Amino acid sequence: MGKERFFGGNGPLAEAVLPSELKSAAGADQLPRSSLNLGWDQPMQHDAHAYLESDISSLVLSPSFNAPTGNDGVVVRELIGRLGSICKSRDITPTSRCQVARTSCSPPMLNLTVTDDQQQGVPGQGNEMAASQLAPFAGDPGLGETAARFCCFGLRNHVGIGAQLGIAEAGKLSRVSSSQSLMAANNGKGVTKSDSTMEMSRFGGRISCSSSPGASSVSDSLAATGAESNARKRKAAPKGKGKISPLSSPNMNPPNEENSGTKKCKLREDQKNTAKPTSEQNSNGSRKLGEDAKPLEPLKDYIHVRARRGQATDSHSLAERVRREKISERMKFLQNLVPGCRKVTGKAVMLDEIINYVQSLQRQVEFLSMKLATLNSQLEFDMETLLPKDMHHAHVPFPHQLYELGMASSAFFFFLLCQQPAQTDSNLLEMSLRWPSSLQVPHLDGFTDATSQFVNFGEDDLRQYVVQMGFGESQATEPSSQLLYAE
Amino acid sequence: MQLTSTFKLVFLKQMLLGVQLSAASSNSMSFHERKNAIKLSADAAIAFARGRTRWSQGLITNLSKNEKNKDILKSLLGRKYDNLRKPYCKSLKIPRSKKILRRCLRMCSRRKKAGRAQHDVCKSVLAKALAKKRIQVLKKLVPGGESMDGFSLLDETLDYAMSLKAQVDVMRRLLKTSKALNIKQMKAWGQGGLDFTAGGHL
Repeated sequence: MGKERFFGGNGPLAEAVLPSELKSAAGADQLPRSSLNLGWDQPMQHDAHAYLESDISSLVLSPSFNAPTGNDGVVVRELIGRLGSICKSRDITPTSRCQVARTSCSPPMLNLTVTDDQQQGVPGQGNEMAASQLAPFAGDPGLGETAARFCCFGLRNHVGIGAQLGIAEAGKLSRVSSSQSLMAANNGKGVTKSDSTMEMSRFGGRISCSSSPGASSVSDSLAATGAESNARKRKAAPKGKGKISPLSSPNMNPPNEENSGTKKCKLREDQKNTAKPTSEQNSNGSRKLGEDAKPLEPLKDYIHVRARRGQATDSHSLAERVRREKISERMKFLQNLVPGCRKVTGKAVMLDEIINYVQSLQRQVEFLSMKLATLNSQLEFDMETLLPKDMHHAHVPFPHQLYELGMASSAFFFFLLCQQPAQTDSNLLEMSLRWPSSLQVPHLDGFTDATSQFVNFGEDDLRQYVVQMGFGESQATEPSSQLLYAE
Repeated sequence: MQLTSTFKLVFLKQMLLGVQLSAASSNSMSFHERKNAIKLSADAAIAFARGRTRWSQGLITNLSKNEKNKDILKSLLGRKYDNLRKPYCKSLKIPRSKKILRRCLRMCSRRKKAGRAQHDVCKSVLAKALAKKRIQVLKKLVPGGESMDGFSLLDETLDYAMSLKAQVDVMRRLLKTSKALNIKQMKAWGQGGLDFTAGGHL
């Protein structure tokens, strides 16, 4: 349920239980969180991780796959994201490329081991340079190099070049593998000393890569991009023309950093939902993959799975998105309301603050009522002075109140009215003084004397008095009203 | 917005009326009785001023549980009393679901302890449990919150918090004004040369 998803996003509180790798990952600066709250990073990363792992597992469902080696977390997107950065790399040395080619020429089961040397050799750079560098190798016998170039273009969704390459199965294989290798080469930046194992099945870019357990957050962040670029590669491969889908848009901007691809993907998704946790991003990524994977016919069994997943997340994610937007709106509003909550991130902490605030307000009400009780031992409140002049209608019920409440309350009321002399208005003072002065004395003694004297006046007189007082003191209410509203 | 002066005025008026009603019902009141009367009128007044919301209904319902207060509330709120009373009571359903929730949490914690294999699932479950605990606390705080789900609870909390803020604001001012009035009275009477003792004002 959306409710669970909403309340599942507890940031810092879930920190303790996260694996150390994610913790270190969260500590790394490499994760660009455009609009994500940092507090949500860690649990969301983990959710994303799990989510993407399941995505990748669907990738692996094809029979030609071998199970990913080792217990390493599978991070396809990481590698693909790396690939993106690699494609811009200007320092793709021929040696590395040849190595890539060599490795790509291996049988479908390609296992690339990226060493640190390779990793260091491939900084991410502009795409055009890579293209230009790779272009001369177009005619090279090394399949890997064409593949390397192709993969770059495929990643960038350059339509024409994809068509140029004349898709062949082996070529695609090598392309993908080289892309993988390039990705792996670049992968080392985020993933220190991790062995990325890449396996390939038929073309279409089914890549299942496994990285070491020490995979940093980069892997997670790149996963989303990787999944999308995966789909993009698959599209480019059979059709020969890059489907300029929304997936391509985030990657159109050459990512200067390793994580910029993920940043873009996250940005795009965050545009739609400001406070979206990573899990939803990944779900959107998988959903998009599912959508894009549908038209790819040759990969039916593979895409079938993806499409199903995409459809499932589709129906849920829309409602959940609406809910999340509503909730984030309310949370923002509550943040504005509750003082000192602007910098608080994470729903659990916000809920804590709200609870504290409501409790404190309730306690304040209790305390103030206590103070009022001590201040007015007989619960007398001068309604006319306290209520502003424009509440004339408030005066009307007074006579009724007087009639209903009985003599004691009437006396009480009259007592209130006779507090007018305290007002600054001299007219009122005179009016009150017109009454028998003996009335003023018993005020402090209690109601009984006032009651007896009050009875003599009669209710009509009192009502007139009330009205007169009400209107007459309209000027008098100003100072007290100002008092009331001056704060 | 709720923190308008209209809301505050209506609240103030209702509160004062309520206080008078309570004072009328019993001539001499102890300190606690006075305090409770003030608090009762204040709570009823914000519920009245706010109109028909779930928390206001819950508030009136809670206040009406005390029979003594019922009459005061009825006369104070008049027509609105029936509107504000909650027509139905869902409280019976809630304890059952709480039991189930507790059982689930216990099982989840047991699972978590048992093996790390499912720690992914348990982490999200733990996060959800943390949030749910807080929501339960919030449900107890907000009147009538027991029978609300998470989303509407947030709405009602927001509403209730704003009303509470206005209530505190007005009461504070009332206090200040009353103090100022009392001081003025004492001065005036002192000037009047009356035999004045400040016994009535603590």
